[in-house]
Amino acid sequence: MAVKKRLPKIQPSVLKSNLDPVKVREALLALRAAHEERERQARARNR
Amino acid sequence: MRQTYADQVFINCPFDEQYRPLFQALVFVVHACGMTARTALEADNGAEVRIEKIVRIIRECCHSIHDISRVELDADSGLPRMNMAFELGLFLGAQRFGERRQKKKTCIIFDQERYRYQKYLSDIAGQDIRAHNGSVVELIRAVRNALATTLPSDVLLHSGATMAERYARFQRELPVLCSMLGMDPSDLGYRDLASLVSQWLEVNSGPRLQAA
Repeated sequence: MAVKKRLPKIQPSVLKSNLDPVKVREALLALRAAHEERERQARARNR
Repeated sequence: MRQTYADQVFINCPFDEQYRPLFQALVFVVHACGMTARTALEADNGAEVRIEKIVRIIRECCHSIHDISRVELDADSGLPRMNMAFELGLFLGAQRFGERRQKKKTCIIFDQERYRYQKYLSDIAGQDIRAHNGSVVELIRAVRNALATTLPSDVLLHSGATMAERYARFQRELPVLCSMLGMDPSDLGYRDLASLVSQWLEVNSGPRLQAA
């Protein structure tokens, strides 16, 4: 029987950071969107 | 979220400027494997004696990564740095003499070159010492492959090469991210670094793994 694979669960840091997690997430989502847009443009150029 | 003994990885390495890319790579790959990186940098409590802090963290970690590559003499004092070798000895001692849980400890030992340690720490001959040759890619690949052997077989991991590519992207984005958050990337404390790594991986994880 095939074993169902799973992604590793990313552990939040055990340490209390002084960063605002909401602001960090917003910034990371903006960076990811910019990265995905660059990748999309690169794919379009190579097509 | 509850974190278990088996998820904790003690990182014993230099903390200086020169080593920073390798140190950040270690934190990144540990978290990318679904584990938590622990270091002596995480608590700056003046009331806790340094050795007590290190012993406490070692006790809480099932796994460890030791980089004993920094053995050259300090430019100012002309003396060698013993901390990494000392903490490796503490970890091996805990594994050898500790209670049942401590006997499950595992360690990954790195040096700059594979057999160089025989000239200055021959007591660990027989351990599997790995070489990173100062390369972030080699370090990530070796840690990923070693930690993978401790994970359940149903856990999917990126390949070492893919993790290294993702780390390179994290490194490129870190200054921008810090700028967006009003922080200085060259003065990032360990707690903040670990938090950023963990959140970056969470935001950038997902189905892309399947295609990697």
